[in-house]
Amino acid sequence: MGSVSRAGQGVVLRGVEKRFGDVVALEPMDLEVRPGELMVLVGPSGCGKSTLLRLIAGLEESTSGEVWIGGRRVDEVEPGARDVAMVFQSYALYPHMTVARNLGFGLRMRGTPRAELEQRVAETAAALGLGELLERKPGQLSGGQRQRVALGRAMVRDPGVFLFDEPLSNLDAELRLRTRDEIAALHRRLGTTMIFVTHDQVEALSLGQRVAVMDRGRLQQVGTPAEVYRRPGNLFVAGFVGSPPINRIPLFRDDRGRLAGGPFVLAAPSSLSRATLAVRPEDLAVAGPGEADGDASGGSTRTGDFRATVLRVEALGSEQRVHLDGPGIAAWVARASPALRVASGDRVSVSVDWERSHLFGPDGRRQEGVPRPAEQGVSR
Amino acid sequence: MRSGPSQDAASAAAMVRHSRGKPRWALRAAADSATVVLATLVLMAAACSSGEPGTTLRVALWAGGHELEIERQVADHYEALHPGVRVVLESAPNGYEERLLTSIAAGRPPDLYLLDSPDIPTFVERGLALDLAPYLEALGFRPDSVFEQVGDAFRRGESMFALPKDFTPMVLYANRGVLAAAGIEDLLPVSPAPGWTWADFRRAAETVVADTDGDGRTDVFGFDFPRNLYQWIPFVWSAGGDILAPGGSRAAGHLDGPGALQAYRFLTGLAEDGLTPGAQFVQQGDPAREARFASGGQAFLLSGHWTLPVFRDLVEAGALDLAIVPIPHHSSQGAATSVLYASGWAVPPNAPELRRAIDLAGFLASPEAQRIRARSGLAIPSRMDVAAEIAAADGTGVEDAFLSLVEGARMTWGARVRDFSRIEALAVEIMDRRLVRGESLASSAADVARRIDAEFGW
Amino acid sequence: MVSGVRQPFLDSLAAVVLAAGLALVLVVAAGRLESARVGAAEAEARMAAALWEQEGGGADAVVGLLGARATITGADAGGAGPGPAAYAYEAGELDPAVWIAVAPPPADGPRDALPVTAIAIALAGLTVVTGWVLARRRGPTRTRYPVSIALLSVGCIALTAVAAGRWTHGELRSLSAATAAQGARAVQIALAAGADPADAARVAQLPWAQDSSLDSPTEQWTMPAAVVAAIAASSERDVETSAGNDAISLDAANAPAPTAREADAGARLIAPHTVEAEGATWHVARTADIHVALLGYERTASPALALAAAGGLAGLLVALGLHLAQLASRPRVLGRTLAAWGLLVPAAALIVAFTLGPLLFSLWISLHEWRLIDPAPLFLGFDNYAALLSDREWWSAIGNTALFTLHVPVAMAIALALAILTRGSRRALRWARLALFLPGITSVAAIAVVWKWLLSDQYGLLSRGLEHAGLGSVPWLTSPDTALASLMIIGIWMVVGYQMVVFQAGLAAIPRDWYDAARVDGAGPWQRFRHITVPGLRHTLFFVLVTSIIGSFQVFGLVYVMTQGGPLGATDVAVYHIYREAWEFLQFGNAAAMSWLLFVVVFAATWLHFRFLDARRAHG
Repeated sequence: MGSVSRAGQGVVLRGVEKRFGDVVALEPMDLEVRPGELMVLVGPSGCGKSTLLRLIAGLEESTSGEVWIGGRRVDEVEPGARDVAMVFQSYALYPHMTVARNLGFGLRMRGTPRAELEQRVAETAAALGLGELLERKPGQLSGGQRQRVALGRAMVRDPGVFLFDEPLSNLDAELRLRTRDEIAALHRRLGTTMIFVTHDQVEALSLGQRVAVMDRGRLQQVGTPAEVYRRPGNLFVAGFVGSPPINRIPLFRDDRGRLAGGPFVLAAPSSLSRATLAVRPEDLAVAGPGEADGDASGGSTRTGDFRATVLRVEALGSEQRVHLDGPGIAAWVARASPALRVASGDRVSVSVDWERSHLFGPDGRRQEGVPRPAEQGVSR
Repeated sequence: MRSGPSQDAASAAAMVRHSRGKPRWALRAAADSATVVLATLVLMAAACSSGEPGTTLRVALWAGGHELEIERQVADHYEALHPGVRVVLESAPNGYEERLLTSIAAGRPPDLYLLDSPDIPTFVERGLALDLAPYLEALGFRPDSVFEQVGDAFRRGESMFALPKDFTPMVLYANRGVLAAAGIEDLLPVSPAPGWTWADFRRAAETVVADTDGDGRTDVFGFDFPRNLYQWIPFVWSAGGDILAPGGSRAAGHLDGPGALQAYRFLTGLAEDGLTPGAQFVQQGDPAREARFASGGQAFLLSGHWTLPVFRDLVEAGALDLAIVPIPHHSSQGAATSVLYASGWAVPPNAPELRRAIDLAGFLASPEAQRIRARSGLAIPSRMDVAAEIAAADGTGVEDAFLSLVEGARMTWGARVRDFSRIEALAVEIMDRRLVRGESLASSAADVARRIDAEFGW
Repeated sequence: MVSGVRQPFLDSLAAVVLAAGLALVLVVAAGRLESARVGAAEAEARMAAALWEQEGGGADAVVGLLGARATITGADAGGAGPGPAAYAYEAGELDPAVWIAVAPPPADGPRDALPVTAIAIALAGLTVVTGWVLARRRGPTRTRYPVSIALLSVGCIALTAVAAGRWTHGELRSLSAATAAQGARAVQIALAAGADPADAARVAQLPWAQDSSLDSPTEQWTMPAAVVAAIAASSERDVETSAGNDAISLDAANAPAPTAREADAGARLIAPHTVEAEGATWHVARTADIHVALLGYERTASPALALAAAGGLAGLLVALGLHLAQLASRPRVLGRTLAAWGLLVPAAALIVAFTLGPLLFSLWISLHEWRLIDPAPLFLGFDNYAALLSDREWWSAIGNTALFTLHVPVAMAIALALAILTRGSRRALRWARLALFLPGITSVAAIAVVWKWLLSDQYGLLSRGLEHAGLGSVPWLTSPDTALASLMIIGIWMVVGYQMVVFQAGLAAIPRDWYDAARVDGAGPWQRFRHITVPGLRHTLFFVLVTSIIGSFQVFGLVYVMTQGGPLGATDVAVYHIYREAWEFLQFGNAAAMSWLLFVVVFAATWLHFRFLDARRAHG
């Protein structure tokens, strides 16, 4: 494949906005995808990630703003001339053409000489293990095979930017994992810029060098998977990324100016009238009923931050998920080691790893600094 | 009249009676439930079809609109005279023949139907019209009371297969206004006039042709091209020719004979010299002809009596000055001629109410009925006395002019020759081929004659 | 067990269905005979009535003709008629009437009863099946009806139908011969009364009467030429040889002894005989001066057809009954089957009555010469088809139809372009679509009339418009060179809207992703049309092509209203040709043969299309 690979192109969006009539699909946004980078656009359905991808591909025209690919402004450039290739969720294989013709279609449209076309199709097919299938039509292929043909159709043209529009969602779980790895490997091998759209945050975190989280036509946060996970920029990102989802509790300012809610009272007086405390399941430590103290992995020496009733325990083998119940913390989930012995109905003591917990203001934005509990905030 | 249970019931009962006469209980004993089922079914079928009281007579005809209203008045009159009889008029102005034939083929003929002259041979030969001759006296129908040619159309030897209703000759309608504008009103003959020849007719047509608005197109024409045989056959006759041999069993030598060819030449000549608008190659001919004639765009119109009601209002309003003139004759012949088309009331031999139907036919052909019918003004009553009454009552002289043209006219060949519609369909080619492809009239006429003879096995 | 409860019931059902099937056949046979007997009585009554009115006729003549079977009721009977016991016929003055009632002729001998052979066969079949059913009820339950029983049932019905058919046929023949003989006798009586021979025939109300010379052209009107020829031929052969046989053999039981007058006339009566001509049997009687001919029972269709149909129907019934009985052991399947059949029956009945039936009838007619009002269709075999092969006008009509069909690809191209251009939901586009679609739902007759005026040479808007534009005039409908093309243009105008809508439905079914993928692949608008739209519309295109071609082969309304096949046959298309052949020239056999040839052509075209498509699918 080395012969056809080349360095990727950077993609830059400046103030790009998309409206359909009165409906705003994308609010003006800036985004830069570096050459050779694998950027994942992730968000719930309807968040505008696909629209953004289509804007880059040129399948939609932006209402305002600029799209630059490889240092060239492409707003007036036809999709076919933008040096991008796209893999569709439905694969969009041409059903009346053989695999070989599907692969070669883009090259044919560009008037590539026949010999070169055939050679490149053959190389791509070989690389993807499609050699046996070249004379078949898409209708005669399995889902995975079709997916590879779609991939091949993008690869064969050796574009500056690969665009993936949820290419894995039509595959079964096992195949999806495998293909994800293959795409990652492909990216390593080709070194080409890739923009990958998905609604699956696990896929996003596992695949992306950087992840752009979107919601309601707005870019919520751009960063490495670790940044996005560990330092979510806002409540939406915190809630969207991570499984099981992050535990949340609303806090309100009490008469002493402290934020309090459920079993929690924060130490520092705050100017905020209300806020949300968010703690990932793995940042909760559960002490079984037999143990005197919570096993606070954060090194806290205090007894548990609060007490709760175990609602249900999911034993997943490598870990346990403990569903907790208590005032204000209904539906909280804690991750615990399989060694922990708890059963539903047990009263347990739970400690929070405050270093890793997050506080979000009333506007959902992240409040810098680590929330601290007031000293008397012990279990009730 | 026959009332009560219908034929099925009657025959079933008759069967029972016969069985009673010759009982075969031995055989019956052998019969089992199948026979019982069978008998039950037969009896049920018989019981289901008992008729309603009173008599209903179904009359098939092709009247439409006003004409149908008038026929209804005639029928009402009959119903008033014969309480308990109901006359149903089943009119089919379009597709009449199809409907009539289908009803006969389906075994449900009307009690009475209107027989058109071209259908006479087929219906009579196939036994679809009852010979009414034995009943003429009882019906008070005197054969010599109707116009001779009209009566003859429905007569075969001593038999009479329909009672004549009415008829029409083909005549020329002349728009005097157009002729006056061209200054040749005096040229018109007083009908029937010997001496009104093709040459006169052509000269008149040539004179009236004009481009009134100067756009290079003719706006006033002399005539319109008579494309169909039913229109042009008088021209053949008036040239001393005919389309078939006497007796009607050969076309060659007649359809392409000298007289016929002269007529074709004369008529196509009118078209080719621009005295008529371009020919329209459909059966009804130029659909605009009547309107053009009435609005002064055409001097002469070849038609039958049926067109008269169309013009009557215009004449009464003074918008149209109309004259009825004979079809011009060839200079070699002494007098004008024309063709007649007639219709009559016929009774199918298997009419459900045969006797009543005959009586109704007699009434529909009676002077009373013909007087009522004459209000429609579509045709000339078949009875000479009624026709004369109508003419006398008509102040315009138009009816008189029509009557005067009857004497020299002949009944259409269609009343004698079976499948005449096929001859008409083929004969239309003769002049079409000349006008469309410029072929020689003699050769196309010979070709058509040969094909007719071959098809009819003559 | 549910099945145990239902089993006997269904066994009986099968037997009852068989009985009903056999009864159906017998009822049809008996019905044919009964209607023929009534018909014969009618004919006789008509003759008697005519004889009554003849000079020298009256009661004596009628009794002489019909003997005890005639009842004469005078006007004093109150005009109520002789009652329901017999066919009645009025005679004499119209009002008041004399009634002559004629009892149907008695059938003689054992044929009076229902056909013995047929009943015997029916009974035997019923017995075997019933016996089997009874045995089955006692013995071990088998799950399937044996094929032999089904075959036996259907065979019984077939045999019954054949036996009943033969029996009916014989009865009808003897009936019609007797009626014809009565006709001849009526002539004889009339002659004896001193009536004119031609009058006598007329008075007997025989459909056909003929002067003895047989070739007198003025008198040939009453008898078809073929019959005249056949009589002329037979009078040499048959009649001369039977000259010694100088009296008509009438039904011995009913004919009274000849009167003196009759004996006198009898010497002049030669013999009745039959002549086969025009597909029917004619019963001919001849006197010295006159031939009379009467159509036999063939006046109505042969009973064989009705019986065969009844037999077929009965066979189907039996098969159905046995099928149901077979399902008895599986009550749920049986219930579903019954429900399904119940739901299918109305639709199936409609199809049989209005599609399948007429279709088979037209096939049958195509093997005959038939003028709809002919007494009997004349069987020709494949003569109609053979004649068509060399019929120039017919092939010219087929050629015109094929030419006309060339408008289909043009229309489709335009429709596809319009479909693409008018996609979308903007108001203007919606109106455009509506406007384009309207011709497709407008009456063809209305369209044709309007276009006829638009295209009129003299007053047409189009001709005038072109002239004003200085483009000269086109003889749209009045030249053989342009008429068909004009019709094709109107044809295009008519179908484009409909095709456009179908294409739009097809376009909507093409995923947008394919277009997107092609755009990313660098395909321009034409390439996208060529590589995405056209392949994506493949099935739609094929559907529209096939249905439009079939529709185009059936074009009729336009031609009927606008050109009537002219000028000079330039627009004479197949269906219009068929229509004229049938309804203008009354050649129904020919027309039916043409229809079937047209069907074969259309079918072949469609089949080739499908084959082509399949082949491409298999290899592509």
